[in-house]
Amino acid sequence: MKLEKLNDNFFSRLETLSLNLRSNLAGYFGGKHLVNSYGQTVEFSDFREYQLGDDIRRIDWNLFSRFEKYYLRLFTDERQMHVQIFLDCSASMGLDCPAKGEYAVMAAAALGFLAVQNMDKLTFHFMKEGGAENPFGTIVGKNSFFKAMGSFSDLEFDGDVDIEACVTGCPNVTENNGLSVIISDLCTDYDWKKAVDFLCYKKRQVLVIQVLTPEERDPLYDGRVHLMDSEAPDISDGKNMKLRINRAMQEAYREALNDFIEDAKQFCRKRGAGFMSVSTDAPIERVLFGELLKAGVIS
Amino acid sequence: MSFEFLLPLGLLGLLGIVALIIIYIIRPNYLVQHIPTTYVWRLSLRYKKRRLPTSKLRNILLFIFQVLILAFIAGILAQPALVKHNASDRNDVIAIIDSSASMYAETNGETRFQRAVDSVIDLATDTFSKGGMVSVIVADDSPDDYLSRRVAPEASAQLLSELRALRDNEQACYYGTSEIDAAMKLTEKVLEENPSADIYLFTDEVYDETYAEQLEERRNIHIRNVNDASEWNGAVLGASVEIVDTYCELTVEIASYNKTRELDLYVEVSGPDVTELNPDRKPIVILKPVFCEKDTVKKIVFRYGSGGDDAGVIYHELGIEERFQTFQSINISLRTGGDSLSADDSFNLYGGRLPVLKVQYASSRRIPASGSDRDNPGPNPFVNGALGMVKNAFSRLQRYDVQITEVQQGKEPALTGFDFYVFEHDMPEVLPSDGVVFLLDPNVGWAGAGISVISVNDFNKTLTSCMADVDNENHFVMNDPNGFKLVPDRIGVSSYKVLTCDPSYDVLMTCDSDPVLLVRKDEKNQVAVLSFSVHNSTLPREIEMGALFFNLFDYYFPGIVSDFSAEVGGSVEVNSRGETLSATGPAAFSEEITEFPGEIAFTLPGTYTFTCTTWYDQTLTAQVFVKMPAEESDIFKSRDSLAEPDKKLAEGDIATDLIIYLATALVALAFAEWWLHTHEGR
Repeated sequence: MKLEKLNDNFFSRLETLSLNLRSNLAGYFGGKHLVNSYGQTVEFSDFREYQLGDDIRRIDWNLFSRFEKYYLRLFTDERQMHVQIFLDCSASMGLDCPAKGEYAVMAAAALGFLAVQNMDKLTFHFMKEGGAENPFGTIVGKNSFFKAMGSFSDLEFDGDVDIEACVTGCPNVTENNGLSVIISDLCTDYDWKKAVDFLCYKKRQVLVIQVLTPEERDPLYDGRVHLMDSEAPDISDGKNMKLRINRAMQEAYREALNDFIEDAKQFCRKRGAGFMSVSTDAPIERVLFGELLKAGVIS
Repeated sequence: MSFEFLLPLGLLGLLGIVALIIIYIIRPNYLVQHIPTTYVWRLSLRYKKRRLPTSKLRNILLFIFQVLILAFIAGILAQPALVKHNASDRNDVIAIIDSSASMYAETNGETRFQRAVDSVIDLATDTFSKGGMVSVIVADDSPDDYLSRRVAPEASAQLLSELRALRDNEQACYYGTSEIDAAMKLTEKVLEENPSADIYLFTDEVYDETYAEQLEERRNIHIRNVNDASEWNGAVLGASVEIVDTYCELTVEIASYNKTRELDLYVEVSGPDVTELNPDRKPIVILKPVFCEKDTVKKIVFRYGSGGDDAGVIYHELGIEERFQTFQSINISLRTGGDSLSADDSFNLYGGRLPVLKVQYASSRRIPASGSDRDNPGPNPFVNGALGMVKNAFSRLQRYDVQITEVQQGKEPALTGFDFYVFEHDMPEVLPSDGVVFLLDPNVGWAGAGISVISVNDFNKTLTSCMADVDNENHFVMNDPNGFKLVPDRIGVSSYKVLTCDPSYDVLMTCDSDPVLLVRKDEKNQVAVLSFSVHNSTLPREIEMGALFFNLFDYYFPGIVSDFSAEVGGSVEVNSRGETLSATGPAAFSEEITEFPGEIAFTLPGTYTFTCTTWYDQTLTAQVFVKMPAEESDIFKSRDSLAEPDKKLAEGDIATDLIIYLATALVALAFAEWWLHTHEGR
């Protein structure tokens, strides 16, 4: 797979952006994300009466001069976020349509870059068959990130993917410490919604990005067509279909697709997860700078 | 009132339904389209089913409409009508009597034909008593008229009298194959007047019972079989002779129908060739018993020498005293009596000895064949070769035994006693008057023969092509239908004699506008002239050399008959070397033919003799044996179907045409089809 668009120019435009986290973060390591708990940063948050055992260096002497009481000045805390990107590596994502896979990889790379830029931890999970591979481990820092990027061109899309099994079976899904992104076309017979439920249960912020090609959104072929599914193991598989595609059939397809996307969007909204369905003919910059910005995922 | 198709053949249009089904079966394959996933398509099926449950129904409707359209078109072609018949003509019968040769089969002295006529008499009597009308057709080889047509009861006596006379006439039945289908078509004339008339067919052909019942129910056609189960027939189906190792080999086919029997086959060869054992040409007689299984044709081969090894063939080895090379005639017959049909119990073979045609070739162009023969040169080998070719061809065609006599060097050619004289270059002082004369490169001419040589036109060793004369391009010699077509352009000439001839000659070929090939054929003057030497032309190297000689012989010496055997209903072509030809045959048959080539058609079996007197008072005779068709010997032959007459409307019938209704329905269906097609994608 050629990833010519993942160049310095692309990443340099991302440097002005950063990921937003709507929820609180747990964890031990400091980062760049402000959280609701009090910490050691310079960002003022509140005052509190001095209690025995508090650090006397934090006493606000100006308030003491006015009220003759000891008050402590409190500051917000900043934590490091753990960004997990689950990338669907099934055949439908890139075997017959390399542009779709390339687009998904670029989205994953862009979000990953935003993570490492903010000093966050980053892990890529390539979902294949019933498991998720994490070939690069935890990435911290741009050096590690770009090193991982070099291996993205070897990525292969093949077979079918059970998203739920991949996510729930992932060993390092920790609670309440960051953002989980699922990049997929969601066109699978397995129940991907359980994966979102699982992540929400883990109190992670979830973002689902559905990638579809223009042909998938509006098929151009018609007549007597034998549709060959790229995930079908052989020609006699039930996924392959013989259809007589006419105008009514095309309308039924569009309606089914709209309902499918709308259902996914409603599902994610109910669970506080972000959802966006993107078309590969839309420039990736517009998605990142437009849709994600509008959705508040990045700022 | 009944619903009828006035043209039932139109229903053949229903075959279009089969075509439509085939089109649906072989319609184009699906176009293969590789896509990332069919997940959404699978979802859309549920939407389609939910939203468009009529889609499948529409496809079914489309097909049904197409079938209906085709069926309606076929219906329109068949001219449907509601017919109200005129009730007064309902009691009308048409009797067809099969008069084929097999109807001569008899039991207890009564032939099938007589039984059939008796049945018709009974039927007519019964019909007349009910006030009906009777028509009778005797089906021979070409039934083109009624014996009687729609005879009313008032004239019944005459019809019954005619039928009785027909029964008593032993020659009333035909010896060939009858055309029952033509007789069935002939009934249409009566059916035009009364479509509900009953047709009765009295025949000995066996039809399937179910089929016969269907005909009776559907078309009022009643088949009445006049066979008797006890009848059987032994028959000589055919015979032929061919020369194998210089001796005649006789092949005979016999059969026994409806009974397994041993048949005594009797062969008598009359006028065999003279041998030491048979110096008086006594007839050779052979009696051969042959066991015949029922309805199986047996082939028996009589040959001199050891028998062959063909399975199913019976070989009879002829002894030395029984062998023969030529014969006058061969009679083959079955001596086992008692069969029901005797007309096919014997067979005669003729043409075993060809008439002699004497040819004399005299040439002054002597050519040494080799060094040793330099002192004794032979005649022109090209002419000799052409004459030899003609000899072989006429022998193979069983026409003449051509005997060629060459005039030795220094000897005078004979001027009498030959049928064909060839003079090359040196001409005799007088021309022979008892045969055809062919002058090749003549050095002189004769005023009496209407030809004279003026000069020599020499092209100084360059070739000039000959041309066909415009008026005689299709002359028999130039384009013999039994022989060759001459192409004069292929003949190049370097020198020829310039001739003048009187108008009685046909100029066939010219060179440089001068005649080079001429023929004349009239009483006492039958002359052909080729005015150039074969040595001064390219003729010997072309096929035209042999073709010219063959065509000339065929022109002057046609065979009297084209074949020595025929079947009743068949014919032979006849020719004469004189002015007329007389033919005699069985039942006092006699005919004089004056136009040639003529044709004689045979209606009776037996031996026919053709005699002609040539222009030179020579009498020639040929015999032809005519037999009844071999298929008629099978007296229990079966037949699959019968031609049905077209149904016509009678005068007074009221027909309500249904085409307008069918056409309206057709338009409605076509509109519905169009509507469904236009809304298919919605």
